[in-house]
Amino acid sequence: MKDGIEEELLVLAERAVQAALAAGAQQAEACAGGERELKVGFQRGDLGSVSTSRETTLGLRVYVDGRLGFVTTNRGQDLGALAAEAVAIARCSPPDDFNGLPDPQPVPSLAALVSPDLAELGPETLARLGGELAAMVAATRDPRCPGAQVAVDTMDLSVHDSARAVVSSTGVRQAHRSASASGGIFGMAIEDGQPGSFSYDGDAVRSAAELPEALDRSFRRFAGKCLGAMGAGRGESFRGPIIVPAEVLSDLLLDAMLRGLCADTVRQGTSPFAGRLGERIAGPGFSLVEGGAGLAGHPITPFDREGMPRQRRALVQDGVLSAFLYDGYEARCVGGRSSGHAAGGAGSLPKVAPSCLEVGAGHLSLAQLEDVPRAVVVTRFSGSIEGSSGNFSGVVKGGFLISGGERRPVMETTIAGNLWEALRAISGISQERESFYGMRLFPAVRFEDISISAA
Amino acid sequence: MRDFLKDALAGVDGFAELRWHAKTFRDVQVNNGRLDSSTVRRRDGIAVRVLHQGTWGFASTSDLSLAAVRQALDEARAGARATASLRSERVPDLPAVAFGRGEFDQPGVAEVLARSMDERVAMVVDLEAFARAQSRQLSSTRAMYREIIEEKAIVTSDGADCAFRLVRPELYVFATAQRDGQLQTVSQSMGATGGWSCVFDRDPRAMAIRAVHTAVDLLSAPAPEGGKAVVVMAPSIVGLLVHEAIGHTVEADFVQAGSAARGRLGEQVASEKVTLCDSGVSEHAPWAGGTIPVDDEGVLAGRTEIIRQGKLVGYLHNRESAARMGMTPTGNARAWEYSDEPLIRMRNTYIEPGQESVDELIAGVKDGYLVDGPRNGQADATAEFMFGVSCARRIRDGKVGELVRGVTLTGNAFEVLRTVDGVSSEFQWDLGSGHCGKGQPMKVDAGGPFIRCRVMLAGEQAA
Repeated sequence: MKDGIEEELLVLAERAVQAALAAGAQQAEACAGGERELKVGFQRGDLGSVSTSRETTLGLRVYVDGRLGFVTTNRGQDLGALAAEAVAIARCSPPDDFNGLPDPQPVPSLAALVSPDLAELGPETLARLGGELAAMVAATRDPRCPGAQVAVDTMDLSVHDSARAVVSSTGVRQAHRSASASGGIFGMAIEDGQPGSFSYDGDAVRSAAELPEALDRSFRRFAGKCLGAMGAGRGESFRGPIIVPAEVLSDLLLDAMLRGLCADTVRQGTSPFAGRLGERIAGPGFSLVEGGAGLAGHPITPFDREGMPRQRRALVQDGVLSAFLYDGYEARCVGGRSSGHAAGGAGSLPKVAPSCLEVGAGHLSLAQLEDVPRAVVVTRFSGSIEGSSGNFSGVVKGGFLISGGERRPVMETTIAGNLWEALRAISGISQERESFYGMRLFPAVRFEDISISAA
Repeated sequence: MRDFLKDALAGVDGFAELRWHAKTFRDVQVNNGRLDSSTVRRRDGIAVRVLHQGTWGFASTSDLSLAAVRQALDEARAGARATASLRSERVPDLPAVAFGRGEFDQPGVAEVLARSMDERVAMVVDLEAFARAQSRQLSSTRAMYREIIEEKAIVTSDGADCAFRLVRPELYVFATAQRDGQLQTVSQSMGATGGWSCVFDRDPRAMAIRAVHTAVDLLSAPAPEGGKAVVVMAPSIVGLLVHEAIGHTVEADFVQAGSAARGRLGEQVASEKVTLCDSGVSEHAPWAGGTIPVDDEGVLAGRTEIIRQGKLVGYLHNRESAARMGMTPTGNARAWEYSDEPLIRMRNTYIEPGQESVDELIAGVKDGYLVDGPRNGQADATAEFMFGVSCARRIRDGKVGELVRGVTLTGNAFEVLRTVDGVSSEFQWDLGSGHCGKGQPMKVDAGGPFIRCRVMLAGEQAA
């Protein structure tokens, strides 16, 4: 995107706020987003297509007598009509005493996160890199099943450049631009015409120089997961520990857990953690931090969807629940201030959600974590989790059984239990942690007393 | 818009496809008496796809000027040219096909547009308040109305020239019941392609009552025994099975990558009682949520048989996969919004109805379960699946009994379909709310009759 896009978006957002006030809004906030993307897609290991897109989106939130209206569009030419529609929606909405826009707070200054070398990533460069990575994945073998080969269903490499401006009638005025390069891969291993379980992986980086190494690492991990699922035998049924690698921690635990740590679910009565601040909810040694403006070495736009400064927040400290996440509305409901966790873009209303997450490292090496008489390693979980009760059940895909000093792949092993009980039954956390997309930093975790059934 | 697109295509060499795609989303959500959301979202633009030197190039623009569309054509062609030499296998010539030509507007758009935003907000506020009043054991209730009005015009250099408008309304009720620190959440939803009446002719308050009562009853429901069980699947679970565990494996791009359906055409993969199809038309019952008159390559979207009397007979194709596999395009190329490339996606996927009544199916079960209401679901390239069920009841000696909680169904979909020994004449679409995900979201529907089969059943505390 061209230099100065942040200022252009600020001007657009300011004009939208003025139009809303002129249309009868008592408060107005505009979020303007500009995006440009180049993507090279692969199918079945071969080049599929090259695509480019660019767009500007404008979201306008208004309040009239405590009543909410929101309109978003990708064509901001007729701001008067847009503002009139937002105000009309507000006028037919029920009032809410807690509705309103937050007052501005100081936001740390951060230069645009745009590495100049990203401009070198044109279609041909991305296609060449993709071809090399596809060849590397296709050539990967596992000595346990030398006939198995990884089949790439889809793979894409892209460069994404985006800018955002947030302006409000209460005085918020923020803009920032960032760019990244990323890649993702999806597929499965096939042996004698029989497919194994599918898998996926990927990564995102801030500069072109980092991209080959980051994708090589994540695509090798993908190939390893696909091949690891082959040649699996029958498992064992028992009640005991499961070991959850870093890349599965979100799917099995943190996604459900994080919903309950957002203040909206507390207010709505669906959080299992409501009223439990200061209580032990996890085993000793388990710490969960929302990374605010970015994890170490991976800064992100320093303000949230409402233009509030993103704040680092310890959610669970040594097993004890220490905080929830708030946006402006949820903070007003409890008489506090936003913690800078309003998520979303110009195309949506703000909603409480984390941006980046870190689980603290433990004291065991990965080898020590697996040094147990019997356990199942959950390399992918395919199943159901009921977020409010915490009950879960599902199949371990491409998993391993540790038994009698051996580690062997097992098929169709079902695990079941309750996440919130499992969280209190953590018996080990690895020293090693893995980073994903620069937004997640997780160790592997061992949970005790899970129901494990071999098919 | 068709004339504008044809003007933009004038003088273009080689294959090119232009799609104008406009969407208006309306969304009203009320949670515990509070209006969470009342929004309108509008997004439109033009997608350009070219086939140049056997390579696809794609570009999109929200600028609807002729100059912007021509620039997008140039960008798409430049992208294809820059990478064509790196492609191992060129895209073959696209096959001739039955294109849509003309206007294909679906009913309901005017009816929905005639409703005011006040009416939508009031309806959701009232529904949530009604749900909340149904029990003192509720800790949370939520109601949500959404609609998508979609307009498209598709023109290709080899003859497609069509346009349509349609509307997809949907309604949700969520209820969370609480007792002694235990929470149970149940949702009820419906989604359709059609006007306001196709959702609201059915009383939404019945949905609220069902969601609340099920959530409250689940607080005291026992967990089931795990193991192989005879189940009667309601259309909601049949829909989930045929969409997630069969439908994805027969999408031709996934077949070519090596899914469990690869190389099995002509093979008996299910009971003879099973004929399984995917259609752009709302077959057997009205208002299916994945209905489209033409796909995003301009191909007429008719009925495709996937399994006929138990034999695998077809896959779902776009024009490229049909050319590669020597088959006929089936009208399954779909893009979520203008900036998305068309992918092979399902539309309305279902099992054809049979001859038996639901009562007859249940009467034939000595010990088993009646399962209804998907809680969530996942399936694999192998056709193995794992579905959570929100409303499962015991069947003993042919009678439906008590509710059980935390039921999950698992198995291989083709193996489960081999065990089907009863198919009802009653038919229902029941997966029209929500979205299918495959890189892009997509509105689809699925359903069918009630079927009786054998499946692995896992409780929440299995083993």
